[in-house]
Amino acid sequence: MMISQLFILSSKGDHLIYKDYRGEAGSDVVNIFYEKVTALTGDQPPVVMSHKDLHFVHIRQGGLYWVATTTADSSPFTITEFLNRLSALVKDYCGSLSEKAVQMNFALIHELLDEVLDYGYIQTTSSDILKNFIQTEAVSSRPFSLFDLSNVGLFGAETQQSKVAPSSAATRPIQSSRDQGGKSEIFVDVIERMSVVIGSNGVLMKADIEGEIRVKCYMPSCSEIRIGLNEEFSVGKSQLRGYGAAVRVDECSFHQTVQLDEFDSHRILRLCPSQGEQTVMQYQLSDDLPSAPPFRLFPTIERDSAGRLLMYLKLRCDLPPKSTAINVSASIPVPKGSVSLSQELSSPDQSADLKLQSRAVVWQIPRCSGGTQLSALFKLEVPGLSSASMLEVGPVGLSFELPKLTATGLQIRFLRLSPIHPSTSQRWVRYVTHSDSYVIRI
Amino acid sequence: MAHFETEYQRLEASYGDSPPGEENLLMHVPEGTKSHWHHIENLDLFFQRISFWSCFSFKNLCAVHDNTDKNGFTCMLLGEIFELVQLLFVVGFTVFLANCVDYDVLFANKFVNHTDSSKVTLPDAILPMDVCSAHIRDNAFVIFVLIISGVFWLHRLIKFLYNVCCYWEIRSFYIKGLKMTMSELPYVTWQEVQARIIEIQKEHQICIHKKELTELDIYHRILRFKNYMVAMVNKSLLPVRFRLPVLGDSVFYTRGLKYNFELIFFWGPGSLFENEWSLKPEYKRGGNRLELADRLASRILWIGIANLLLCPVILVWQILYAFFSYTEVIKREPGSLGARCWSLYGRCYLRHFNELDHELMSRLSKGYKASSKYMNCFLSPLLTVVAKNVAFFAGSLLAVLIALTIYDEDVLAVEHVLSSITLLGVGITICRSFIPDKHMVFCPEQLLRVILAHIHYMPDHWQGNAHRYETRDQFSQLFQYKAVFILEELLSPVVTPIILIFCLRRKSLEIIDFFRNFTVEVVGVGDTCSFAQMDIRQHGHPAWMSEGKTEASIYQQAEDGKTELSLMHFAITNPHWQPPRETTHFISQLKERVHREAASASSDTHPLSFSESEPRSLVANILAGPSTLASVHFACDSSLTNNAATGLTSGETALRSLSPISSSLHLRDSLSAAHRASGFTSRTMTGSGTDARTVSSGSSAWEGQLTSLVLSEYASTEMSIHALYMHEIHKQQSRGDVSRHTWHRQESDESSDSIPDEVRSEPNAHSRNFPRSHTFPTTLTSPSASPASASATSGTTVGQDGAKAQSSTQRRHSGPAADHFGASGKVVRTARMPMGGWAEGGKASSRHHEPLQEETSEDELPPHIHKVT
Repeated sequence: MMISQLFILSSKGDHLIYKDYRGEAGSDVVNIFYEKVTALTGDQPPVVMSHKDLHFVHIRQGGLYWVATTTADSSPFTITEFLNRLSALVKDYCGSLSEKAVQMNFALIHELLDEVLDYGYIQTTSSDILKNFIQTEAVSSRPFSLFDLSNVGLFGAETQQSKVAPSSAATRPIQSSRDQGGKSEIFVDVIERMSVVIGSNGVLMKADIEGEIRVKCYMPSCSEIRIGLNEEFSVGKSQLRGYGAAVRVDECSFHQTVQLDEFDSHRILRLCPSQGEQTVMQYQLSDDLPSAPPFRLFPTIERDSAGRLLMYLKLRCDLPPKSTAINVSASIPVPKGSVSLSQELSSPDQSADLKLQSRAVVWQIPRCSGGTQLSALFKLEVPGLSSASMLEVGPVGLSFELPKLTATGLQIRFLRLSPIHPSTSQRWVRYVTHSDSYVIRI
Repeated sequence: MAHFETEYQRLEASYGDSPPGEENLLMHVPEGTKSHWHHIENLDLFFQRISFWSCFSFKNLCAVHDNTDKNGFTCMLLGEIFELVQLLFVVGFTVFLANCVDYDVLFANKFVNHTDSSKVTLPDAILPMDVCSAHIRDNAFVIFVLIISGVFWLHRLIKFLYNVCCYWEIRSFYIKGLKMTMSELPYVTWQEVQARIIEIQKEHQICIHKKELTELDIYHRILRFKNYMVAMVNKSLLPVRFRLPVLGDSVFYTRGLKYNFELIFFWGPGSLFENEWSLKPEYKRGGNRLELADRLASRILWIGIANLLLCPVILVWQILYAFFSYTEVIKREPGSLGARCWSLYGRCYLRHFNELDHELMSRLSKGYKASSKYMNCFLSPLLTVVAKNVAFFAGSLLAVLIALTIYDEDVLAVEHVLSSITLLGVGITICRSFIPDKHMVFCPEQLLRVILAHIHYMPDHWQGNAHRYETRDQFSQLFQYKAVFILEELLSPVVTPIILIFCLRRKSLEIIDFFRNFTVEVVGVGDTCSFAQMDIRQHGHPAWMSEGKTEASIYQQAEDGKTELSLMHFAITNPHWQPPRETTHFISQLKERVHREAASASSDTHPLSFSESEPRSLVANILAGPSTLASVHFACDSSLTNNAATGLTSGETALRSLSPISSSLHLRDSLSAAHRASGFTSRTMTGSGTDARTVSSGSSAWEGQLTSLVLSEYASTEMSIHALYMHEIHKQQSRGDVSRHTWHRQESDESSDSIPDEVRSEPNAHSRNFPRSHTFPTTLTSPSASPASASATSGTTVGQDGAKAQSSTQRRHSGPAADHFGASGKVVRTARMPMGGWAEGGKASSRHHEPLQEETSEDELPPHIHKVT
């Protein structure tokens, strides 16, 4: 069980990090790996590849290839898990994962690799232990923006700034520089992924929700936190608690550090998070949505007299009126040989264009509030349009993000630090539901 | 993992603060609206800006009255930018004039040798660039001035940028918080903005210390320092009044002096206030007052010295500024120097506690006509004769010159002809301002009473002495010549340090005592001046109707009935304000008295048959006296386009019958009652739209504003009547008493001792030594009835009377509205239940609001536009 080399490549094949632990192979293997990866067509190259007696195990995270090579017969799963943890560690330490972040924090990552692996043997990936050894501070590149200046609270008002933190607030390095004072903050993400298939007759054919609660902790010292979920939270079909609408999931699993002794009675998770990000709880709910699916599509597809394909789409957003969906994008597959597109959209901030290589019309809606109905009229110029090719107008795929909303209704009731810290520790929560795959058949 | 745009929300701190184990008590977390305006720390500034902006844009509207530019934000920005540019221009142009112009060429003392023509052009007179810059470089003084003005300009620039940020924040508060669109903003009155703020506090908690804000809280915050200033002037603490050897008793209070006072007391470094809203704790304790006074004295000394050092700079600046801003005006209308304006001292003296700038301004502007008329009564006959003759000679000279010029314009080319024509013209205009109007009637007593109806304050000895020159001189301190005003401003840099060093410094102990004794901490407001609480019990003056109610020693009493009049003013301008119980009692009692008198006066067939000693005909007396008030009312009633000022001038409506006055008095009351009944929601204005329609016949777009205008008009009239009434009562009460009014109070009279003791309180202490207890407040103060029933009866009678009066005066008045007025009387009764019925009253009134809204909805509300995107 040893790793011979470890390297990180950018998506273009640039060598960002290269570290040889055992000297078993030359540095030309990097190029060999890149050739092997790019030679393969298709979306997902195999995780494990081999060249002569050398095995490559790689993952892709943040647009980067994280590759470990090994000669011995070691478990590929272990190495994959290790690579995942390593990338998470680098993300925690650098703030975010990107080619630029890795380049800028070259020294820090080398220092991390020195501690994590010793002569190819995995030592630890726990940030609690590592923080004693890592001295280098992360260099983060945050672009200066005038927007930060614009809402300075001149009256000492708790304006947007202090009530709401941008999503980028959680992407800062855990070991921030001393002068930043190390704001002790905890970010809790409740993220749900939705995969829905709606049939052409409007029947919900499949509806799955996978959710997770992630905690990103910037507390300098470990303290126990207690996260309270909804009282009505219930697991499985039989169990119903409380009054009113229950928040039900089919099954859930927890991080190993989570203590569940109060979970049954009060729905409280207790844990001592280490610095950085960890997934505290995962849950899923299949074939049952607590509420109506967020989007419905009413298409009308016909041929007009000039031989053009006419698509009239009405998209109804069934969210509660106060919620909105952002970054909605609908991709409508169109017949082969479509040449050009003319469009009529219901508001100017939407856009639509024809992607020729994927043969789809992509309709972008930046913001769509609940209860509204959007419409679009697309006229496609398709030479030689036949009734058979009309059938090629396939299922519409939607992708969207629903901020401040969980499809299951799960909420964080409270988050408490058990040695009560003074008000310096700030606690933030974010609810997001996004689409994993949301297909509406036509 | 995908990157999300969703923002993080803060988990509320309060949930985490309870110790673990108690969390079961906090099970259900209400979602609540996530507001961005939760807990604003510096509410003072915030409200000031809001009120400023509201009034600014509203004023803008009144001035411009068209729909082209409705964006107050742009206006303000532009105004500030131009101010900056103006500053640059003034400095630059002055330096240019001083250094870069060859005056010899301009005055044709030196000949320019042109080849082609003999004409002198402007560029000839301008020195070349290098000579010019050399001039400037050589002149150390110019460089000094330039540096100073540069620093000043930079300071202004920074302030401007800061203001832009503030405006931006306020703008977003208006749009998001108060939910007003930019287009409707200019049409919103301060009252409505205030109502919305109170509404918004309920859901957003702008102020964390209190659940609900009242009108008084907002006023306190906006006018915190102004209230202190008013109180200090009222107690003659500030040295603005001097006895000069030649000029006699005179007042000197300029903007520069005011700025310095504020610098010393409120916001300068090391001032008495810690921040905008709290006094430094050491000033609240009496222990080391002497030491604090020493410190304050030395601070005043330093500021005075700084003033003295900066004096030349400020002086130069003042002169330049005056020159550039007033020359144009003087050239255009030289008479403006002879015109008058309310002096800064007058504004302080006449201001009520808790009166906003725009309220004061509108009040004073209404009194302007009458005041200038009054002052014009006193033109000295000697001066008139001289002026007439001077004007005659100058006029004939001018006529000859003009005639000659018309005959042949070469006359103009003769030296000094043009200048003498100009000078003669100016002289004639000045002379003319000394010649009284031929049709003037000398009736100072009545004029003074009309003035009093608007300015609300006046020393006791003026009444009955209106024809005397002393009164006129003293009034001229409040209402000075514009020229005097400018002159004082010009003198101010020199005089200010002298006043600071020699007069104010001596008073430091009194000032320290004042701030300690008269500062109260109000929850949710911070430290305010206790006078501004308008508590009759603490600061009432026994000679001003609060006999028996007040417990104040002389030191604590506000002079000139300021507390009582301010209280009435505030209660009338903010009819929804719910004062403390005793205060409510005072107000309702006074109102009832006025109404009763008004009713008896209107039933009186012969209004002029009153005798002065008879108290029940007081209102008749008042109403008959300033007969022009009636015309004001008529103007209000018949058409709103006639404003009060024009009503005042028309003296021939002298003996209009008294019924419109009293009826309008009732009308106003019933209006406000109906208003109160309609609930103080954000939709107030549309709610009272029906009432507006019975009074006004404006287009529906203007209706809301008209309503508020009507209401404010009635409010000011009602206040005028109350002020007159109170002065009258006061006059009768204090007849024979030792007069002690601010006007001629001597230094020794100012009870400067810090410990208010009962011993030196009153000559007529026997009348105030009632056994007071809180269980029997009503039986002592009002022998007739308990406050609930009293106010209830008054409420119902008023409501019915109002309905009657209205139906008699307005033909459009219809049945349901009359019912409504009757109902409103009931609502008033429930609202004034003495035992904690306020919340219920509010509920009841909000219930009442519903049908009203439906009634008006068909044309008040814009048609619903269904948004389909």
